[in-house]
Amino acid sequence: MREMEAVIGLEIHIELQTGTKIFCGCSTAFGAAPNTQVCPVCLGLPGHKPVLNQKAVEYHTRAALALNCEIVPYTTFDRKNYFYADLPKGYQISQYFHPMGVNGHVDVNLNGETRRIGIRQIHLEEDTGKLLHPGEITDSPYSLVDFNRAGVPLVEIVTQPDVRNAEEARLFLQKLRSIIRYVGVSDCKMEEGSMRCDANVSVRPSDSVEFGQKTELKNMNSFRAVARGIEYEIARQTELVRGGEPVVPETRHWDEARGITRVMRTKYLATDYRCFPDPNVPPLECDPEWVARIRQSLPEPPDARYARLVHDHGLPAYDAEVITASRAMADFYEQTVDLFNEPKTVSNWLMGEVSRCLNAAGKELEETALAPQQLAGLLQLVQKGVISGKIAKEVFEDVFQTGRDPETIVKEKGLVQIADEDELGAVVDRVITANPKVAEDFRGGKERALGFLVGQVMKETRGKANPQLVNELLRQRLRN
Amino acid sequence: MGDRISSAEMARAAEAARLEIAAAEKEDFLEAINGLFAFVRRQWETLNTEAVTPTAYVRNLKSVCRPDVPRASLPRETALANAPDAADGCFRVPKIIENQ
Repeated sequence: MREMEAVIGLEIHIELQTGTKIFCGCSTAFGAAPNTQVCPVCLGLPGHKPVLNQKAVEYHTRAALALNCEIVPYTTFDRKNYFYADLPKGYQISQYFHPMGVNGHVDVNLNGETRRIGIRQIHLEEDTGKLLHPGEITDSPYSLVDFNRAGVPLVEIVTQPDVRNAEEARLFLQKLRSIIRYVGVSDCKMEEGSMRCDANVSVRPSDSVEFGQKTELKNMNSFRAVARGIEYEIARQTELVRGGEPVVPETRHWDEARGITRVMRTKYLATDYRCFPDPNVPPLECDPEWVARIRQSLPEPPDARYARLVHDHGLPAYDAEVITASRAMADFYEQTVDLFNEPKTVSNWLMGEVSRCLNAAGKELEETALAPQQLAGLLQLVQKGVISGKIAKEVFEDVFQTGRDPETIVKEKGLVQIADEDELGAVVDRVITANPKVAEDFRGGKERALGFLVGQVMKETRGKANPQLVNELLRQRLRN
Repeated sequence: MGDRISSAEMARAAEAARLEIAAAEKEDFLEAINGLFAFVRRQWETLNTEAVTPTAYVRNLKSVCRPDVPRASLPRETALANAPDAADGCFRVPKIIENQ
């Protein structure tokens, strides 16, 4: 049987976090009551005058530069004409003829190998309204339209058909999200729709250079859904091609509940967008000096930061990748290391306890009040032997929940480590007396028996005993 | 496209623009459109446009931007005032997606 390979191109829409819409002063805040953030411009009422939001241009440029794109010197805002109930004007304003950013790339790390995914273009456009369906979309007799989202600035990012499988697509999207969040132009929340991904998928014999017939996948609302949808579609098309059946070029929706893709027909076939420059929005010329200033204002990109953490801080590649995936996490890490110069310890804590607490709370690091000073302070307490590593986790939980200082918590809860030989010696003696059989096992050469005794001492002291001292004292006494 | 717009081409343009042209009017429309195109073509052929760059804009403006400052939106009642149908603070429209 001939080997088949998939050819995948992604189209990603990302909402820019400007305060107002792209062509009018309506707020872009998420979650407002329907149709309360609309005006004659974004509703497309007669006589309206769209005026471009300077910040949207700036944010687009930040994103484009972060994706290694060239910024074109001249661009127009063009009308893409089609009829759909979520599109008030009967056209969407986009950059059809001169996408503002072109020829970029993103490097993705897959199994230790770097894969470069080309970015064909990144352009600015306006979002559409939102269709709401009471109940199931297929059962509902009508659609409700909320135009709050209409006119929110988007960047659309189009990749080259460089992606070869579902995992690569997932990794690319995560990297993209990380890069865009680094430059601070979007929160990229797939579940809230501020980042949306469509995929063009086709398959072909792996020795072929021609593309197979493609389908467009929509409605994938998480990284996992993108991976699952693509995987399903590759398998479906491979089976068709192997069976000698044609792949029908069509738009297919990912059905998360059933784990399949299926065709969703619409009444209106928009095959011809009849694009032309919008006469109401003058063309935009990019000043190279302005672009240079934007470039200078960009933070260190995640890739460069990753390399620095590996080479200068001596972090393992895995740690560096996890830490630099989010700018907030990487900043937090570096600020903590400035105060407590043990990179690997700090990284362990961020990937361990800190991430665990964040996941449990369903929050991002930047949404909490946790400060680098608090984590560094806690680690210093451990280093000085004031508390044990085990107690430190308990203290951290408290810091995370209440925002109080670790030192205060330790004092208040009486968690100071017992490092007093006499005090601990007494506990050790009690434990040995209470467990004669285990003590005998250890004397007989069973090293593992010691672990049990250490555990008993920790239990009696409610975790406050200095584990090294416990170890020492037990060995000392059992040797005699 | 030939020198004249055909009846089929006009029908396609009308469909794309959601225009319904009554059967009785088709002939007249076709003549009118072709008359318009012929007029433009004549200008093109008689005027010297060599030194003129094509433009989509009537005014010579470029890079017009506004600061990212919020302005008041319409009250919802006003926004919905001309809606043919409304419910739950939304415009209500016939469902677009067909059942498979």
